[in-house]
Amino acid sequence: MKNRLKVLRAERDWTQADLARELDVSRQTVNAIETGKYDPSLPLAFRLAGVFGLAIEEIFDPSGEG
Amino acid sequence: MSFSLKKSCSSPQGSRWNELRVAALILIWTGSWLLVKIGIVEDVLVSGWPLWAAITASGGLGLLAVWAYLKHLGGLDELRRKIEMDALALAFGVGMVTGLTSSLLGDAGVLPWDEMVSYLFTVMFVTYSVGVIVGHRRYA
Repeated sequence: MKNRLKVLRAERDWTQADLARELDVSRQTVNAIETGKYDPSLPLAFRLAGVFGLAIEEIFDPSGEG
Repeated sequence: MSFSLKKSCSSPQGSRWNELRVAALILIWTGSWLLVKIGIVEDVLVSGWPLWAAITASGGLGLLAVWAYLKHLGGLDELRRKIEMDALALAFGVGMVTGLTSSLLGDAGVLPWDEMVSYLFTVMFVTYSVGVIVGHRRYA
Protein backbone atom coordinates (compact mmCIF):
# COMPACT_ATOMS: atom_id res chain seq x y z
CA MET A 1 0.00 0.00 0.00
CA LYS A 2 1.33 3.43 -0.93
CA ASN A 3 1.73 6.01 1.82
CA ARG A 4 2.99 9.55 2.44
CA LEU A 5 4.90 8.69 5.58
CA LYS A 6 8.32 9.73 4.32
CA VAL A 7 7.04 13.10 3.07
CA LEU A 8 5.08 13.80 6.26
CA ARG A 9 8.06 12.85 8.39
CA ALA A 10 10.39 15.05 6.33
CA GLU A 11 7.98 18.00 6.61
CA ARG A 12 8.28 17.77 10.39
CA ASP A 13 12.02 17.12 10.30
CA TRP A 14 11.59 13.86 12.19
CA THR A 15 13.92 10.90 11.84
CA GLN A 16 12.62 7.34 11.55
CA ALA A 17 13.91 6.77 15.08
CA ASP A 18 11.90 9.76 16.39
CA LEU A 19 8.72 8.45 14.81
CA ALA A 20 9.42 4.90 15.96
CA ARG A 21 9.86 6.10 19.55
CA GLU A 22 6.58 8.02 19.45
CA LEU A 23 4.72 5.05 17.95
CA ASP A 24 6.37 2.63 20.38
CA VAL A 25 7.65 0.43 17.55
CA SER A 26 11.10 -0.38 16.17
CA ARG A 27 12.81 1.80 13.54
CA GLN A 28 12.71 -1.27 11.29
CA THR A 29 8.91 -1.19 11.44
CA VAL A 30 8.74 2.50 10.47
CA ASN A 31 11.16 1.86 7.60
CA ALA A 32 9.18 -1.19 6.39
CA ILE A 33 5.93 0.81 6.40
CA GLU A 34 7.57 3.77 4.64
CA THR A 35 8.98 1.59 1.88
CA GLY A 36 5.66 -0.24 1.46
CA LYS A 37 7.09 -3.60 2.49
CA TYR A 38 4.73 -3.87 5.44
CA ASP A 39 1.16 -2.66 5.92
CA PRO A 40 0.48 -1.66 9.53
CA SER A 41 -2.38 -3.00 11.60
CA LEU A 42 -5.43 -0.81 12.05
CA PRO A 43 -4.45 0.24 15.62
CA LEU A 44 -0.96 1.26 14.42
CA ALA A 45 -2.45 3.10 11.43
CA PHE A 46 -4.66 5.05 13.85
CA ARG A 47 -1.63 5.84 16.04
CA LEU A 48 0.21 7.08 12.94
CA ALA A 49 -2.75 9.24 11.99
CA GLY A 50 -2.86 10.61 15.54
CA VAL A 51 0.84 11.47 15.56
CA PHE A 52 0.52 13.42 12.29
CA GLY A 53 -2.90 14.86 13.15
CA LEU A 54 -4.37 13.52 9.92
CA ALA A 55 -7.00 10.98 8.85
CA ILE A 56 -5.75 7.51 7.90
CA GLU A 57 -6.77 7.98 4.27
CA GLU A 58 -4.66 11.14 4.12
CA ILE A 59 -1.59 9.01 4.88
CA PHE A 60 -2.36 5.72 3.14
CA ASP A 61 -3.56 5.13 -0.39
CA PRO A 62 -5.21 1.70 -0.66
CA SER A 63 -5.26 1.88 -4.48
CA GLY A 64 -1.48 1.80 -4.86
CA GLU A 65 1.10 -0.91 -4.32
CA GLY A 66 4.37 -0.22 -2.49
CA MET B 1 10.24 17.99 18.07
CA SER B 2 7.11 18.57 20.11
CA PHE B 3 5.86 15.14 21.04
CA SER B 4 6.86 13.30 24.20
CA LEU B 5 9.12 10.30 24.34
CA LYS B 6 7.65 7.05 25.58
CA LYS B 7 9.14 3.98 27.14
CA SER B 8 7.35 0.66 27.20
CA CYS B 9 7.80 -3.08 26.95
CA SER B 10 8.60 -2.81 23.26
CA SER B 11 11.47 -0.38 23.82
CA PRO B 12 14.79 -1.60 22.43
CA GLN B 13 16.21 -1.97 25.95
CA GLY B 14 13.23 -4.02 27.17
CA SER B 15 13.28 -6.14 24.04
CA ARG B 16 17.03 -6.77 24.40
CA TRP B 17 16.57 -7.80 28.04
CA ASN B 18 13.76 -10.21 27.05
CA GLU B 19 15.95 -11.68 24.27
CA LEU B 20 18.81 -12.25 26.70
CA ARG B 21 16.48 -13.86 29.24
CA VAL B 22 15.05 -16.22 26.60
CA ALA B 23 18.53 -17.11 25.30
CA ALA B 24 19.81 -17.77 28.84
CA LEU B 25 16.83 -19.94 29.78
CA ILE B 26 17.05 -21.95 26.54
CA LEU B 27 20.77 -22.48 27.18
CA ILE B 28 20.11 -23.59 30.78
CA TRP B 29 17.27 -25.86 29.68
CA THR B 30 19.24 -27.56 26.87
CA GLY B 31 22.17 -27.92 29.27
CA SER B 32 19.95 -29.60 31.86
CA TRP B 33 18.44 -31.84 29.16
CA LEU B 34 21.93 -32.85 28.04
CA LEU B 35 22.99 -33.61 31.63
CA VAL B 36 19.92 -35.78 32.23
CA LYS B 37 20.45 -37.54 28.89
CA ILE B 38 24.09 -38.26 29.75
CA GLY B 39 23.02 -39.37 33.24
CA ILE B 40 20.58 -41.87 31.75
CA VAL B 41 22.92 -43.12 29.02
CA GLU B 42 25.84 -43.49 31.46
CA ASP B 43 23.61 -45.28 34.01
CA VAL B 44 24.10 -42.58 36.64
CA LEU B 45 20.36 -41.90 36.70
CA VAL B 46 18.96 -45.42 36.68
CA SER B 47 15.56 -45.28 38.35
CA GLY B 48 13.70 -44.02 41.40
CA TRP B 49 13.21 -40.44 42.58
CA PRO B 50 16.57 -39.01 41.34
CA LEU B 51 15.65 -39.94 37.77
CA TRP B 52 12.16 -38.47 38.02
CA ALA B 53 13.41 -35.39 39.85
CA ALA B 54 16.00 -34.76 37.12
CA ILE B 55 13.46 -35.23 34.31
CA THR B 56 10.90 -33.02 36.10
CA ALA B 57 13.49 -30.30 36.76
CA SER B 58 14.60 -30.31 33.13
CA GLY B 59 10.98 -30.21 31.92
CA GLY B 60 10.25 -27.38 34.35
CA LEU B 61 13.17 -25.37 32.99
CA GLY B 62 11.84 -26.00 29.49
CA LEU B 63 8.43 -24.65 30.47
CA LEU B 64 10.12 -21.63 32.05
CA ALA B 65 11.90 -21.00 28.72
CA VAL B 66 8.54 -21.22 26.90
CA TRP B 67 7.05 -18.71 29.36
CA ALA B 68 10.00 -16.33 28.82
CA TYR B 69 9.62 -16.65 25.05
CA LEU B 70 5.91 -15.82 25.24
CA LYS B 71 6.76 -12.76 27.37
CA HIS B 72 9.37 -11.81 24.78
CA LEU B 73 6.84 -12.24 21.97
CA GLY B 74 4.31 -10.06 23.80
CA GLY B 75 6.89 -7.29 24.17
CA LEU B 76 7.73 -7.09 20.48
CA ASP B 77 6.19 -4.61 18.07
CA GLU B 78 3.83 -5.95 15.42
CA LEU B 79 6.37 -6.34 12.58
CA ARG B 80 8.91 -8.20 14.72
CA ARG B 81 6.09 -10.35 16.13
CA LYS B 82 5.02 -11.18 12.56
CA ILE B 83 8.60 -12.17 11.69
CA GLU B 84 8.75 -14.41 14.77
CA MET B 85 5.34 -15.98 14.05
CA ASP B 86 6.24 -16.64 10.40
CA ALA B 87 9.50 -18.29 11.50
CA LEU B 88 7.66 -20.38 14.12
CA ALA B 89 5.06 -21.48 11.55
CA LEU B 90 7.85 -22.49 9.15
CA ALA B 91 9.71 -24.38 11.89
CA PHE B 92 6.51 -26.13 13.00
CA GLY B 93 5.65 -27.15 9.44
CA VAL B 94 9.14 -28.39 8.64
CA GLY B 95 9.24 -30.15 12.03
CA MET B 96 5.94 -31.91 11.37
CA VAL B 97 6.96 -33.04 7.88
CA THR B 98 10.42 -34.11 9.05
CA GLY B 99 9.01 -35.92 12.08
CA LEU B 100 6.32 -37.82 10.21
CA THR B 101 8.63 -38.66 7.31
CA SER B 102 11.23 -39.86 9.80
CA SER B 103 8.65 -42.07 11.49
CA LEU B 104 7.90 -43.69 8.13
CA LEU B 105 11.60 -44.25 7.53
CA GLY B 106 11.85 -45.63 11.07
CA ASP B 107 8.92 -48.00 10.48
CA ALA B 108 10.54 -49.12 7.23
CA GLY B 109 13.74 -49.84 9.11
CA VAL B 110 15.73 -47.44 6.96
CA LEU B 111 16.69 -45.08 9.80
CA PRO B 112 16.81 -45.54 13.59
CA TRP B 113 13.80 -43.58 14.92
CA ASP B 114 15.23 -43.03 18.44
CA GLU B 115 18.22 -41.09 17.09
CA MET B 116 16.11 -39.05 14.69
CA VAL B 117 13.96 -37.64 17.50
CA SER B 118 17.03 -35.83 18.84
CA TYR B 119 17.78 -34.39 15.39
CA LEU B 120 14.20 -33.11 15.05
CA PHE B 121 14.88 -30.42 17.66
CA THR B 122 17.96 -29.29 15.71
CA VAL B 123 16.04 -29.23 12.42
CA MET B 124 13.28 -27.09 13.98
CA PHE B 125 15.76 -24.73 15.66
CA VAL B 126 17.78 -24.23 12.47
CA THR B 127 14.58 -23.70 10.42
CA TYR B 128 13.32 -21.16 12.97
CA SER B 129 16.66 -19.31 12.93
CA VAL B 130 16.72 -19.20 9.12
CA GLY B 131 13.11 -17.98 9.14
CA VAL B 132 13.94 -15.12 11.51
CA ILE B 133 17.00 -14.07 9.45
CA VAL B 134 15.04 -14.19 6.17
CA GLY B 135 12.17 -12.25 7.78
CA HIS B 136 14.46 -9.49 9.01
CA ARG B 137 16.14 -9.24 5.61
CA ARG B 138 12.75 -9.11 3.85
CA TYR B 139 11.60 -6.12 5.91
CA ALA B 140 15.01 -4.39 6.20
